Amino acid sequence: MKYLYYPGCSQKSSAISYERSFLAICDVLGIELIELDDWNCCGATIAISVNKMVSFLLAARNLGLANKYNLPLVTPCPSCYVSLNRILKVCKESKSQSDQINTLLAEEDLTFSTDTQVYHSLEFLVHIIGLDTIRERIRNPLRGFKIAPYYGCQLVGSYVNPDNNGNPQSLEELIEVLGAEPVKFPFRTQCCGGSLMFTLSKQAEKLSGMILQSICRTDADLIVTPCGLCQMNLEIAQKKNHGKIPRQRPLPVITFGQMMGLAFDLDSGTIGINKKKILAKQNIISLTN
Amino acid sequence: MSARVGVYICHCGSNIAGKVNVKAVSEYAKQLPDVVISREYQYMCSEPGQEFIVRDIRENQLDRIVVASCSPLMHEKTFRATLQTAGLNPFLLQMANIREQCSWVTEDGEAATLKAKALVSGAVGKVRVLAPLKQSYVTVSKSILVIGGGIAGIQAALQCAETGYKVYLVEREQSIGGHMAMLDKTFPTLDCSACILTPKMVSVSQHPNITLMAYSDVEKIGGYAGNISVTVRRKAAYVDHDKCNGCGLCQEKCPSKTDNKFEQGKSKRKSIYTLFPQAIPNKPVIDKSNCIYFLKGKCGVCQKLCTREAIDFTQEDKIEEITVGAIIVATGYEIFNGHKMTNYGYGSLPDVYSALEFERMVNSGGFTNGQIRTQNGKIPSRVGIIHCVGSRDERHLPYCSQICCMFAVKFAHLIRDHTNATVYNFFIDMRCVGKAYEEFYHRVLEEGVRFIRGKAAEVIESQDNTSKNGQYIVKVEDTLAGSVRDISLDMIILANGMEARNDSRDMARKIGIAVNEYGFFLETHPKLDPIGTQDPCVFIAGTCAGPKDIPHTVVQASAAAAGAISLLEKNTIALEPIAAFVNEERCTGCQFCVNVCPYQATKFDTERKTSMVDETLCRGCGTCVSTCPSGAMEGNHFTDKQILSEIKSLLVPV
Amino acid sequence: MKKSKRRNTERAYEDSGFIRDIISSREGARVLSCIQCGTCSASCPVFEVMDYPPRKIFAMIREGMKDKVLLSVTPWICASCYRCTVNCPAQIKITEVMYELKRICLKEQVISERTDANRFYSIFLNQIIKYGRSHELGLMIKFMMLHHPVNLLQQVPRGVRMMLSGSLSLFPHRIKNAKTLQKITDHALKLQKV
Repeated sequence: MKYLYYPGCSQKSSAISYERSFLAICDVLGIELIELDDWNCCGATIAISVNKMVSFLLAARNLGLANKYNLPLVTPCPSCYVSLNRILKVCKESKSQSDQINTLLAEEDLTFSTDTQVYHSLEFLVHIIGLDTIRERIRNPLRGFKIAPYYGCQLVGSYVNPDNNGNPQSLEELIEVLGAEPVKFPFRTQCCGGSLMFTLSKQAEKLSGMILQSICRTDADLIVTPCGLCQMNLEIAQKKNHGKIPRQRPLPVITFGQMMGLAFDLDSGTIGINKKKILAKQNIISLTN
Repeated sequence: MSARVGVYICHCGSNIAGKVNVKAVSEYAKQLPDVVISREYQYMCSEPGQEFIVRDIRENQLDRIVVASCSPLMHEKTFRATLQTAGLNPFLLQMANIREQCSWVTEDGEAATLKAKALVSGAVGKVRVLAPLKQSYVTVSKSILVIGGGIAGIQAALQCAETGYKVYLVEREQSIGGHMAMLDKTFPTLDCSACILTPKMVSVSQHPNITLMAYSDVEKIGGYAGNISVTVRRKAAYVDHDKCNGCGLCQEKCPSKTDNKFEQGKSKRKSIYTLFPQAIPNKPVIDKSNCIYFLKGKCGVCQKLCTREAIDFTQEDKIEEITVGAIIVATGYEIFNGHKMTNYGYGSLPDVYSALEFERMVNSGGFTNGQIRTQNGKIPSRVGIIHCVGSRDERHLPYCSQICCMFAVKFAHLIRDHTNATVYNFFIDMRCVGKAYEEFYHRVLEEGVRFIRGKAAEVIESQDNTSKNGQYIVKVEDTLAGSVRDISLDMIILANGMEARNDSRDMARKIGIAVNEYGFFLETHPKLDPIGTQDPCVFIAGTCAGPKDIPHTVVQASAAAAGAISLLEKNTIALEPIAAFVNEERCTGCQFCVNVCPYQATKFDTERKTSMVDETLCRGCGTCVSTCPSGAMEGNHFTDKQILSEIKSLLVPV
Repeated sequence: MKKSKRRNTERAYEDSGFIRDIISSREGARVLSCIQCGTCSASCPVFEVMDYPPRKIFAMIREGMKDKVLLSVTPWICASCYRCTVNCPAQIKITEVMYELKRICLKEQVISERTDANRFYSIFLNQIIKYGRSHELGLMIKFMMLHHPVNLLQQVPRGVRMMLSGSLSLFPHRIKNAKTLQKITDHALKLQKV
């Protein structure tokens, strides 16, 4: 099983543990990921706010690079996922737009195809690889664990699988397959404020604080998210809001890759749990023993 | 002898003349082959306009007429009658549509004029080769089929029966009553719904002219105008209703329980059951999918206890054939499925109710015996009603469901009446258009019900365990007060929109009528013929034609009854003379035409080894004509010769 | 006299070119079908720091109140979370309209003084065009030096921790074909001026 891999900038810096754990579990599942050679930033939500053509071009260049391989593309970053699917949708609707972009890309001998499939890593594992394949690899079921599935906002946005209807279920399904119990809380798909971290940091902290508080009121042991930015933002907020949250023990925020790594019994170095700023080791190790 | 054609160009006020140079078109028509006379006039459909035609036919021995005006849907009938008045066969008329297909849709005046000339030329080309057709008549069966036993069907059936016609009322459920039987009170008068409905239901059961076929489905519809043959499936009830006296002992003792759909699944019923206490007919049926006897082969408690020996597990569906002259379709609606709006938590949050669930809750015969209580049995102190659930939403029902504002106001009143709760209505626009509706809204405003202008964005569970606030929070922008509010509530009621039944398209196909984009049955004209359909013998009434409240449903049902009655009063009905015919010498007997005919009008004659057309059944749709591989099928009024002549003339350079 | 003055004020709002620009774009095509229900405002996680809720922005766009809309801080506050877009019953691409408004603001250089998001955006975009990828540390330092030097100091301990853990790199990564990328983004910029 070969797939193309588009990491996105964060996965090479702040969310490096997300990438490592994702690559590690793909390895266990026998999935060969080929990192797109010389990929560039997708433009995120910022390029599109400044110049439409530039933002389309940034996203399309990656698809142009991908076109040579003729393989579906997987990205762990929800924001990249939105950017890449946006350009696909725009160009499917408008041939002239797509021609214009291809003319620009020709400078680098690239053309892109609107038929390229772009998956988010969570959707990819749960729906394409399938829960049955995942089930087979479990060495250490997360039995007894209560996990809060926090999706963040981008995956339920307008470019994503329209029939999930703002009510995604894949994290819950994954949590159950790994043997743990998903915990219900109201802000599963609420924005963590990640994109406002620089420009409106107070507001960003407030939003992540609200999400954390709502999870703290449940009996969750862990928060799991399919987004590196959400993970970082919730961790920062947790640190800052610590006193305000009515809870004795910390609430580790991990990515779904790390969660699967735990269930696959990968060593903590590989899945980057030791990098967590929140001291959650005891909590998790007690489970693995 | 060549034809003598008269051409009449209509200005239609400025509708046509504002764009098309009608004088130029009229002048152009004068030099077309066989045209004897060409005129233009302000309104051809007016009396003086028609008189021109009559006079010209008589004075100039015209034998073919072209009217270039609006769509033939509007005035073809008018001008055919004009020809008849002048003693000409009414089918020697050809209309050129230079309004809907020309002046209204062409921006440039010159282009429109050119197009009008071409259309007129095409019409002249066709009219020259038209042949007179003979109108034939058949007698009409003096009975009426009403499909659906809700308030619309009940009203229509009673009215037809009162006039003296035989009525077959077919209802799929085991009792008539429909949605209205589920409602508690009706707005704005607050009449008890059952109190005003049940007398009508009883009248249906007692009326000598009505045959009530409950627990039955319309399986097939065939036949021809005025003599429609209907196949009805009488579903097996496993209870002989002639023997059963409705004592209710079987229901009492039946050991198997399942969700009560009439109570919206909020309570249980037995596997042998009547729909509700005032059901008509009030005889039970056995629900085969839950009955222990049918599932496991033993039990039979009902059979043992029944003193009338009415239980019959061997009963089978029966097929009955009836013949009727007209059909009234009153198949009703479905409420919008609240699960589709995941942001409101319906289905996952226990105290979020659908509108029908609330109707049953507040009804004294319902699942809480009329008490407004949360799942935990508490009296709510804060209740929210969310308007436009599904309605006015591009993702679901883009239209306004019309009744929700008013039943939401009614709910608010009932909650205030039964409890001391604070009631919030979250509305986008209040639509209180009906007699005494606005007054009712005001009354409820004065009762202290809060109306917040803003669509509820989402319902979330409150996590605030410390305060006495409600268990849910509604997030809404109070667009009038200008702030986003989190309103805490104990109970939420959704004002679900109305949608077409999910099988309405199948039903339409069965009957041979059309549906609109949402699945509601299509009327002939939204303003001037809201009860007629493309089949002159079929009428529509009530919510199957679009969302409406009870008074409007009753009005439409009465109108549909009047439509059916006036059709049957005529004794005979004109058959469509435009029909297909077979050129026998060309027919190879492949029978393709037999397979494609939607009206079973083409049959294969085994002796002559050719197809033949039953003209009474044929509706002139032309499907067989275009299917026939050997060119043996032709449609009169649309023969190959006529169509080619029209095309040729249309393409003559103007 | 008074009456005519009021009329002039009214007319100033009727900048129909603005409405036309918005509705002719792919993003704004459905703006005219807004029913002012407020679902967007109530869905918005950052509503309380906006000067106008999104619903009002749409009302103002329709009335041609171009200056008010462009000077609003709302589009710059938008967190791009798409919650309004998901919930909008009129299916208006609200987030995309916010992008469009920001682009118009930049093009016409009409930007609220209450935001510095535009500066952040330009630092970010320049960095991407230069290197092909974003560099969190560089971005942070550059933006904060310019606008929030005090905040920057506060961030130092976290930065050091992150660097030590390998999740913050000191230097930006430049993609191999950065030169060509720069060239084609220049073309793109020419095609559609900022």
